[in-house]
Amino acid sequence: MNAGGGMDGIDRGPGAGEIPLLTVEDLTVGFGGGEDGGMSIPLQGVSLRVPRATRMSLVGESGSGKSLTASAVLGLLPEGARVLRGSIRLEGEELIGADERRMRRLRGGRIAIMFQNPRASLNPVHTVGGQIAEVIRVHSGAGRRESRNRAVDLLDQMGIPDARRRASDYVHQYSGGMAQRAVLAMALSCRPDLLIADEPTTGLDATLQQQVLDLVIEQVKARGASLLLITHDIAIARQTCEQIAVMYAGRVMESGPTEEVTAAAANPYTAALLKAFVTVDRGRMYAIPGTVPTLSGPLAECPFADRCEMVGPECRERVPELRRIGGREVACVKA
Amino acid sequence: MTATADGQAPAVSKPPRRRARAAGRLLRRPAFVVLLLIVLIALFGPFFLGDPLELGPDTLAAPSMQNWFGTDQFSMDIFTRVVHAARLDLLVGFIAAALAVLAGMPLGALAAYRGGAFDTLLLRVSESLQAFPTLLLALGIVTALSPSIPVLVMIIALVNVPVYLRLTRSAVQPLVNADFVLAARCAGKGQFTILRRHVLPNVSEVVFAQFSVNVAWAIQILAALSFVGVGVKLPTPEWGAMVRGGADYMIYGQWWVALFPGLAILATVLTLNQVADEIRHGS
Repeated sequence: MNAGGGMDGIDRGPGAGEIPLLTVEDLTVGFGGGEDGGMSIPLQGVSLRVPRATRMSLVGESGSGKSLTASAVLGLLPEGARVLRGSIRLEGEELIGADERRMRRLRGGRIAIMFQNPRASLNPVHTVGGQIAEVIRVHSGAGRRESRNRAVDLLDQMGIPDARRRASDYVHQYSGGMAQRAVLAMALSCRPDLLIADEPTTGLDATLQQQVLDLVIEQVKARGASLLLITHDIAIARQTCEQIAVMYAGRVMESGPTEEVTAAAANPYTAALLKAFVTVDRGRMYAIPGTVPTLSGPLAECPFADRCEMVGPECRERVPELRRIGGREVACVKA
Repeated sequence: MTATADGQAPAVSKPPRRRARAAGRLLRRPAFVVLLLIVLIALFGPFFLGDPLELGPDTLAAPSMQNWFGTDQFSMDIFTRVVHAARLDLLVGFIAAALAVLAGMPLGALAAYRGGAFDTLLLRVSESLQAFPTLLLALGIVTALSPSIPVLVMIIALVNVPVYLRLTRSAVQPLVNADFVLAARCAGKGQFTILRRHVLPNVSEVVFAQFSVNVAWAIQILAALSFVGVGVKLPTPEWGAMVRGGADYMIYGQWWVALFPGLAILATVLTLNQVADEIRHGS
């Protein structure tokens, strides 16, 4: 069935016809400059859709705009950055240009985020439990005692032993893995519809990564929430999320069901990224030749053209749009 | 001092053992104990001594069992006066420094947090205040207004505001982009909540160390203003004024009139500075 609602009228498989939980369309974000030039444009028309109760990964090299996309969704772009074009909708409600009061209610309420460095994400001068309780208080208006109890419950659900006592501890008394569990508890404290996890396991020991990742997945599933997992590690994306979106140079290059995309990449960049990871196992590292282009203006050609093995003259003519191919969307003229 | 940060922890009282340890830590700070002593003397000393304005039988009597610090040109007992003066000097110093913190700390935090034109404006204003030597600025304003105690307090506070503003600003600046502040914003907390709950408690240590230094400064400024004759006037007991009054007699060998109030200033200022060091290096 063709929903006819989206900008390209694409059938979106399961949940088609429904409004996705999060829709990002043609999101373009620029830094500095103005008409006089000197502007860099790190997001060049990002489009993605996160359906309800779905786990989606946002994969890409550093500088590809993954985290910036998350910041834009939360309405917390860094200083000097502004949205030039595009739309971000939470269940159809436009977030770009929404007033700060509204955004504050969404942040931590319907959209929660957890960052890479859990110990830095918690304030050193307040107890861990107190910080979680504070978020609950801000959003639900619950009393001190009740929010405190809910915070302890959450810590307990995240597998922190002796949660009631540990809630009174400060972050320096927590290990990295524990701190990330606490951060997850805080993120989930107001039952968000969407959890954005920005490299949630990158700062952790390898042995803890899997545990924390499993916990995130389990909790998100149990709550019927959606997950937007930002990672540079396509292996993690493959193992945890049913949907994948591959970003490169501020654009989504390919998105679709993870299995389908990783089994046979339709975009040469995705293929190169997969190859870079797969070949690590065989003892030899594959590196994509060249470097990510600097985004000092609007693109005029495929951003991957200079590094692509399959590049042809048609790649230089214009920026490839995301096109629907089978169950996925691909931005490549050759696909 | 750190009680401000602790007191804000919601619904969590620290276990008593931790509190006892905090008390133990306090006692291991000698300057802090000395300061406590000075404050106690200022608070309760006057109750055991006579009127600081009471005239005795002899003028300019040397220190003796009768008059420990001797008597001054008006025949008043200098020991009594030095103790009484502690009240005024400490009170003025403390209130002036407190006012300076109350104004400077939030402004500095806001300047760092907001940035932009607001930040620039505040910086320029505080720079232009600081461009004058502190004492000259205070001197200028006092002579322009009438020198009464409240006016002196306000002026000493005013010249100290830029110090706090800049100190807090530079302490807050690295925190503005700290992950936990971003996390707090992502959790939907408002600007003032974040400043009050997440930023300021993290800078309180630096600010309180500076507070101690500033009380010392304030006392010095008050004493200096009195010394040059625009602050507190004799015979009101005030250290700076007493030093001024006694300075004339130094050359005639009556050293005690100026020396003892001078030593009181020295001891108090040194102690306050040492306390600041203990705050900075302690905990």
